[in-house]
Amino acid sequence: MGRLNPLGLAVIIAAIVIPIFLSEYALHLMIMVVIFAILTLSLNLISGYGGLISLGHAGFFLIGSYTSALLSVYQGWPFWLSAPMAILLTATSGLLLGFPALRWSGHFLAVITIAFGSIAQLLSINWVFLTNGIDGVAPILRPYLPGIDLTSNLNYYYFVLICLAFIVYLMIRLVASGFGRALKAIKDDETAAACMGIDVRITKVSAFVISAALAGFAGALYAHYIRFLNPDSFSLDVSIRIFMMMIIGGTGSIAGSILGSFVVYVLPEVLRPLQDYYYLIWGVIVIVVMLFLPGGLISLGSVVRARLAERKDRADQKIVSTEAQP
Amino acid sequence: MFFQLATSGIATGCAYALIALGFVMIWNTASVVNFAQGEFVVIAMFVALTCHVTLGWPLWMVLPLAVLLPAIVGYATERVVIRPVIGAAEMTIVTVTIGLQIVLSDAAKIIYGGQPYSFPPLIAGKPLSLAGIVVPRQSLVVIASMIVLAIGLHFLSQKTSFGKRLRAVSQDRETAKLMGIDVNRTIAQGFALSAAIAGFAGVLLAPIIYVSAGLGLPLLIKSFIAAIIGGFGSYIGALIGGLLIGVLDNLVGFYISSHYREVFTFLALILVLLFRPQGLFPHHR
Repeated sequence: MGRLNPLGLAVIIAAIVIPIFLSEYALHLMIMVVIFAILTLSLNLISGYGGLISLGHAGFFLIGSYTSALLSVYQGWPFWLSAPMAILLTATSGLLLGFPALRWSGHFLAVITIAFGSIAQLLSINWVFLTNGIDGVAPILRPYLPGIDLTSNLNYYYFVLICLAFIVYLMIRLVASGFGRALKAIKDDETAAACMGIDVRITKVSAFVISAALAGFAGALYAHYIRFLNPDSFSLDVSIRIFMMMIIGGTGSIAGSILGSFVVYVLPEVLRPLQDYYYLIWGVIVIVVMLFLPGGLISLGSVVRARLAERKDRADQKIVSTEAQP
Repeated sequence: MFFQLATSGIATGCAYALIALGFVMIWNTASVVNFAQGEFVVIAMFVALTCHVTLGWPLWMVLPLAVLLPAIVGYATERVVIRPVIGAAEMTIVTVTIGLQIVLSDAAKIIYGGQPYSFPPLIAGKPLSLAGIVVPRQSLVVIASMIVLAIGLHFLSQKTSFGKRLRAVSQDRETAKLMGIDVNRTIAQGFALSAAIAGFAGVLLAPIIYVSAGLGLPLLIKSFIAAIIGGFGSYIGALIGGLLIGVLDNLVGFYISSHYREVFTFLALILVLLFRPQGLFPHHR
């Protein structure tokens, strides 16, 4: 991730220029892709680097969204205060979920996080006094930025894009830091990492807290974009979707998380003409990618290159062996 | 009232117990957490619905078919999508089974639509009254079937060579291979058997709840939690965990609120993990 390759640069330029020419609907998709990219990056921190499966990220997303939305609608707080509050509250919930993660991993953690996400959603449906239940919360105002009108979707797109860029920068720094390397060491071998003097407990819990905080931030961005919140948007399906984005893109890769969010969010829309069949085909695609590219789509380039090199190697050997014969 | 509710909870619990049993079986033999396990139940439900309700076949003809078809699907999925990833990273395996879940549940939705269907009781007649508790005949059938099936499975795993192979593979795959056991074949058969059990549970469950294409994932999560509460990997634990979840579900639904059913299931999971993380009936490998 050291230097930027030409392809990465092209993607960044495309992300800045192309939306100007997009339809309102396509622009909506792009904003959602960016918000989900932040969510996927946050999941990638604990799952990709830390190796802890979480299927409850929609729970953090929900807490972040609702905190910011409720504070802004009922208390009149501006986005610039309600969003930090959302981050703070989700970080706290990340702390709560981080402790079980110390003790359990793998499928146990998967089901604990499913439980967390489901409880969050069920409470948001049933605590009508707080969340207004299935009727939802509205109207949530767009953030106010002097001189820039964020009620325009194009401007809001650039706003979330800048947020994403900031978080990518943060991630790159975090992964390269001592904390990031400690997290990777724990993923590879927890005992060995502990022997090297890494505090496994603090590292794992902090990873959960940071991840939750980022998901909460994504939640605030979502709430103030969509302007109407309803518990439906935070089901187990959403958690699974975020998980899929990370896996399909490439676990443990920042570019992979962003690619995954794009593919997983846009592909169903592209497949929409297939109507009922699109979800089925999407499932088949997931399986096929896992069978042939377990490293995710981001590994496509290196896999193809390795195959070509192998083929070339074999061809070279053949030439050598035919030359050797008199 | 308490016993009344508990008894009807046991009937649903029996079905959860069987699903959990099959789920644990796949985990033990193949080390795969199968997120598509609930879909095997749904397949059986729709087979039963089509043959019994639409075509009017008698139950004794429908039941073998409703057990066989999920078994075939289970066997096929193992051969096609699970075998290539066995031994891969846990996240890869989980993703593949989630992909499978999406494919199977959406296939059911394409064929039958999203709406719920009602299914007639397996056995007709007036409910029986036992010591002041009114028990529908349906519940008795379910409970009796589960007991018979559990005993049958115990016999299968202890006495037959297939059962012994299955246990050998779950204890130590490498050693089993050295003893001349075809591990791959055994895993595939284990998948078929666990899908067949799920199918049987599906037929039992069909008259109790409305049959719909979206049932797979919620049923899977219920049985997953049941397996953990019982002690993950233990068969007897899976059965008792399933019964407990069924009873708890019913009691919470009546005494607290039906909106909070799932919340309490999840809380039970969290409490067990906090205070007895090995589960109620720990599994020793």
